[in-house]
Amino acid sequence: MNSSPLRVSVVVPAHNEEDAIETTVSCFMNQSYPVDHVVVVNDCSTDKTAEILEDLLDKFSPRLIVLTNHVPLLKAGAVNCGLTVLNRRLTDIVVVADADSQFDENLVKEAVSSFEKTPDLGGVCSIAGVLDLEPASKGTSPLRRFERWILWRLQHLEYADFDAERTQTHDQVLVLHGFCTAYRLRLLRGLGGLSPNHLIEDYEVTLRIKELGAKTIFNPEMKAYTKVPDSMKNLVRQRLRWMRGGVDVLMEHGYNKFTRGDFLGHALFVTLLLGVILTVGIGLVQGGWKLTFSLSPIPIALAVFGYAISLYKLRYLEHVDIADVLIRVIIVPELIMSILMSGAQLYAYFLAFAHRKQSW
Amino acid sequence: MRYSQVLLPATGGGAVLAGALGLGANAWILGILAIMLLGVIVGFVMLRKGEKDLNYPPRR
Repeated sequence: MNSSPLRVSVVVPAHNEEDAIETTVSCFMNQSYPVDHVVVVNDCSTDKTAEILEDLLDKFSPRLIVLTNHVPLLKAGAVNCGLTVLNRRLTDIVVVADADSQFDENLVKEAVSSFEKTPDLGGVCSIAGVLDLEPASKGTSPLRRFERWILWRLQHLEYADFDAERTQTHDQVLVLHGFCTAYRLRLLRGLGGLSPNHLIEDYEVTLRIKELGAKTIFNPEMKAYTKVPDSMKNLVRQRLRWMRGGVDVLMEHGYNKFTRGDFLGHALFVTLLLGVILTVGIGLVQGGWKLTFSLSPIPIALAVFGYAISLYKLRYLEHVDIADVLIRVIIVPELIMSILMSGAQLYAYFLAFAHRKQSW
Repeated sequence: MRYSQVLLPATGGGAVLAGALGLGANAWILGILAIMLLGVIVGFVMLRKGEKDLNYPPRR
């Protein structure tokens, strides 16, 4: 076994990231574990990202490498471009990170510790933290302010639930999320990098890693925080991409032991939806519903357990605010969002099965 | 599925409410709810095991 310390580099794809790129690069330059290279791939930015990177090169060269694309490669293509400059013999681990995120100074150290402890590890992902909501600019209408606030709160809660899901399946996570995951470079290169043909390249590459027999794990000591959409339009666009991309990946990989859980989730969703539609439909046709389970303990237990567990998962928030607790306790805002997202899921099925083109 | 933690109590709660209002539903929906309940319990046991393995989230 190789006893020399593992060598780490970072690849950051960037498209119009003038507000965040300096912080992101600095986060990786100031890690408690040495990072050999930070490769930023500037993918057709039209803002001041290029100028900021020029200034950063003066400060951090030769550890900082900047590549510039003049033809849009999108995220997967940009990451693959960054991987090509890393020397296979001199880099063991590559951290792929989003430019609009922030990272704890011990993130790389924790990633390395996971690879040291688990020899057959393919990838390890961080927690899915959410960056604080930026203050609204002057002149923002009260309605828009409310939209930003409620969407941030809902996603803050939702991302904590993602961490709970990853804790539940920590030794074989469903998705090594795209905003901060460390991969074994040799393995990622062997897979040909991330797939540029998928809307959610993170899920797709996670499946390919698992299918090779390598592990995909969650390390909650890797702390990373990302920006979340602050308008309904952007949120729906993001979720449609996730949902449609998820269906495409499942259809391509087919039913196997790694996709089984996700297939079951979709089957449950469709069954439940059909159940509701059929129950209402049959009830209407018959001229009224027949009471068959009013005294059954099953729905009562489901309601009580489900509610209790949703409250229990509040402990996954790093900083619990009274507003978070209230939103979770009254359930209504999250219920409205879940209904909207169920609609988005149905539309995603339509997009996938009709083979509609969808931009990234 | 995203938001499953909300859908579960809401589905159960909705069923209870429907019962209370005298609306009711077909028995096979009960079967689905029973499977969901089993999923919730198994999921929670797995979550507690994961928390123990990872020592996460830290106690406040």
